[in-house]
Amino acid sequence: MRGPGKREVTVRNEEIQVHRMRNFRWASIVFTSALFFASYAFDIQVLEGTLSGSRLLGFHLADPYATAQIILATRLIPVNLIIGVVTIGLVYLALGGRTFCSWVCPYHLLAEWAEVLHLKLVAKRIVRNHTFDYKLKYVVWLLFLLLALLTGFTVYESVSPPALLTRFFVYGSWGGLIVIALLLAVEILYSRRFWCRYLCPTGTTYNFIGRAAPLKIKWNQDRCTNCKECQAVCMVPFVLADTVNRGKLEYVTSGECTRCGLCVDACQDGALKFSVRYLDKIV
Amino acid sequence: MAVPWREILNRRSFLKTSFIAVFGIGTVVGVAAAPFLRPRTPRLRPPGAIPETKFLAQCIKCGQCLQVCPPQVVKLEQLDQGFGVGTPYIVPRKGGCILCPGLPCVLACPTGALEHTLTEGKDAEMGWAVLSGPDTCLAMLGENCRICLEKCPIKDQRPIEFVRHTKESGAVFHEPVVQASCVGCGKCEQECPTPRSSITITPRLRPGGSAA
Repeated sequence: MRGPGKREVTVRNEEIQVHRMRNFRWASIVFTSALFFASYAFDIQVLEGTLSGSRLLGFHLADPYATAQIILATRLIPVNLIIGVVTIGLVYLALGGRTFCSWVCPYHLLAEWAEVLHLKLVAKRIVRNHTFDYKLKYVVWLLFLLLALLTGFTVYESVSPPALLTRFFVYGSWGGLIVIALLLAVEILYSRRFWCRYLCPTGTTYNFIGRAAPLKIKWNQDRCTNCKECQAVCMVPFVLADTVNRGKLEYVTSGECTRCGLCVDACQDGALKFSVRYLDKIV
Repeated sequence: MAVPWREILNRRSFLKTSFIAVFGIGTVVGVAAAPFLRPRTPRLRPPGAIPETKFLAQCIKCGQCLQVCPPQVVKLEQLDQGFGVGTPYIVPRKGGCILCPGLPCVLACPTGALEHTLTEGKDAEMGWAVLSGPDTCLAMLGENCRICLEKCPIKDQRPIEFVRHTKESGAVFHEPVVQASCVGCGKCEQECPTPRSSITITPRLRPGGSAA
């Protein structure tokens, strides 16, 4: 049922670049960060704290991975954190798991800009992209949990990019920017989206939530011309393999999908769109 | 051009080996480096802080205690303090804790790193005031200075008693003696009028500081 792929690709108008989802997403990241900032700087008290732990209008929110580390490091279960994790868990179950990464995490925004720079350097053959196995992040995820258990410190929380960045723009703790700069340098010069793709344990935790989340990218086989533009822009291109490459699935089911919508914007055939799995069968 | 180990190991077993290597090396390096990444500077923590080592593990570094602090004296550690990064502390000379009624910082803490069992400022065990500059203290020099006591947020007790002494020359002076009711909030250190505070806070090291 594939369309006449080649013809479609050759008539592609390079100037018509849609950035609708991306613009929404960037607005969302800036808005969330601005809420954190203004809640303290102007005392509007809407979203107080950082991305590790916060209160939204007084309700506890807590990062699941930070909480897991605290529980392992202290062997205690703080009730408020559990309330915060359950709330966050339900929110991201509704929104799609790694939605956190592409719609909330400020590091993601910086990494996207670094990615643009990286791709330009690659195009000019100044640098080369180095790829790793995506499963590396599960090793890192387990590693920092084990370190919390063995050392009694929340080791990862000392370098967690979302936490360091929110602490920077809420409280002015600029020291963490050293870590951020190092990571961005690696992403620009060595490996495309190195942190988010292969390492980030915060994102990996949301990955687990995202597998069960019904909000997914839906693939329309009849419209797809198999041009693979979607995979060219995707941070985790392999998540589209079972749909556009193999035609096995109707939905992008991997927990790695951040629901960033870059593929939706990139698809000139209208074959990819956001959809609520199960619900769209009923309605 | 193929490297020999690539011929021997297929991709799957190479991945497996490198993952185990990353995990093993990461664990060993992490555990070995941990003692060196402890915070170096002893800090005066906000009221209700649990013993230091547990505090470092339990604090989620969200800064909510800082946000609710009425006198805005709570600060967050920088990256140079290792695992202490992002944890709250007070610099008494720049601004001591005023032991607010209701202790909003303790109520704000989502993890219990500031223990919720503490409900009144007078029960806080933050540190001790120490007369660290007896030769500069104005009361010790015979002046009528009582600022440290006057600015002390604990009003129903006298955390600093002024003990009267008479020199051989007949001159009278008063020695500030810190009492057991002092909680170490740091207000005296902030308000002391001498160029270098003559009374300073030593953070209290509560027992049971081990992590596990």
